[in-house]
Amino acid sequence: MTLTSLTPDVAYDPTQDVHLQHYGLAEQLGRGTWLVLRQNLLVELEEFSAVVPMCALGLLVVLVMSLVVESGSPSQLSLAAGVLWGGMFLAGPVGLERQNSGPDVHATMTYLLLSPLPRASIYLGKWLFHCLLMFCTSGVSLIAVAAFLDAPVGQVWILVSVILGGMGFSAAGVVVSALTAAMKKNQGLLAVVALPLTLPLFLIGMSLCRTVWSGAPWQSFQHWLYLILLYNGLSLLGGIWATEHVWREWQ
Amino acid sequence: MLNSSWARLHAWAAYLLIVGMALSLWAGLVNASSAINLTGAEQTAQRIFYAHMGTNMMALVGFLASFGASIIYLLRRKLVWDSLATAGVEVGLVGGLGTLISGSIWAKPAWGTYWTWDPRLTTATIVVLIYIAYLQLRNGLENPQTRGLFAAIYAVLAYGTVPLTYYSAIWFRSIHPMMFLASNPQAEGEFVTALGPSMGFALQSSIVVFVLLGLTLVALRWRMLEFDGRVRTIRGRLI
Repeated sequence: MTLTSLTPDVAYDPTQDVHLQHYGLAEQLGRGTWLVLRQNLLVELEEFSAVVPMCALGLLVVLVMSLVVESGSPSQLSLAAGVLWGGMFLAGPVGLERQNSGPDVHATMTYLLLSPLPRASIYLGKWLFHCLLMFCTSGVSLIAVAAFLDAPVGQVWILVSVILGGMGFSAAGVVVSALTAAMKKNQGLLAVVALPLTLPLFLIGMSLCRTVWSGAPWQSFQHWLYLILLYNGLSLLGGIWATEHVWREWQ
Repeated sequence: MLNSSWARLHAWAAYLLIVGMALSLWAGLVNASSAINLTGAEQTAQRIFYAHMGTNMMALVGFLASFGASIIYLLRRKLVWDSLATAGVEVGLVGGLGTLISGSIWAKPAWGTYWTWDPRLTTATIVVLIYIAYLQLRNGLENPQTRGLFAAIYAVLAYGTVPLTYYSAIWFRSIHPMMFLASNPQAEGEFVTALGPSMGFALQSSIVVFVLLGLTLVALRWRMLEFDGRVRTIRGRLI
């Protein structure tokens, strides 16, 4: 093999990478996060290999679980809350699995880790990407719950809780997917490891939706929202801290 | 850690445990007054409460040991701390499962069912599931250093759910009785203030004995894991 055969097709301008270091930390983080998010989005938009199976699974879970809910029963809305969050959370690991499996993932990560990007921006970029996947899945689950169980999903606090829930799930899930991606035999393990960690969020979110749908005033469910925010904050901080260690090991 | 003074300490802890466990059993099963329910009937099954609280404390000791050892591992990167974290999780799981099983046995006569989706029960189950997942995560990693690092990170994150179990009965509508320093109007009684002297003694002795049991088991298992690590290292050199 000659050296010329290793020359990339597109001219590589190293200043494009290193000039990130001229910015302040906040701007470096912002730009780095955007670069990682953009890279993930471009890969996803080529094949839709994560969002389609996630939405399909979310829809399927809602459909199957709706079959056991007796139509018109007094507990229908209460059960709908569980069905909605069940659909979101069972579909979530699919996106995480796709994000960290495949032959190119380790190579991509190696390049990302060699780049001058702040490590936190790699985590934040992946987190934002998975948030977008979760929003799509949540949207499908919401529509399905509205269609199959007559749940009033358009209420503001339901939408807020679902968005925050997706963000929290992604914050914890990206860390776990980084942990399991380093394993040789990790098939199916991601869901086993990620779901227990995110179960508190599932319980809180489900209780919030149940309370909102019962017609209770803001004072009755505000503490659920604060708990979701607390979970999200802790998961994000924990994620930034943990992935720093995990990715150092990848190198 | 592998020398004879540790072995002697373990032996003494074992003798102390035998005496302590006998005392605790006597205090809980014989000496403590019977609990009486609202209809005035005696609740013999309530005596399992002493073991229930004890195993719960044992779980706390194990998980706390795992949390502390994981933080030290992240700072020092010595496998000896990884072994302690694993030992803590294993003992914590035994305690956690003991709590769930003893609670279910007690729930049947008290609540009329072995299981109810009460927040305290649910969160306690989540904690057990999380630590089972911890062991699964360890099994999937071959390199000891990587395994130690990833397991330590997971253990630190997982420990966040342990306080959740405690606070769940305060935050959520729970029928589980409150134990310490908190009240919940929906809970069925507050034990600490309702306990008489004989019951209080049974509870305290049970907590002390099970904490000691947890510490001893963690130390023994830690020692076993260290021996196991040494055997593996020697085998690796020979083969």
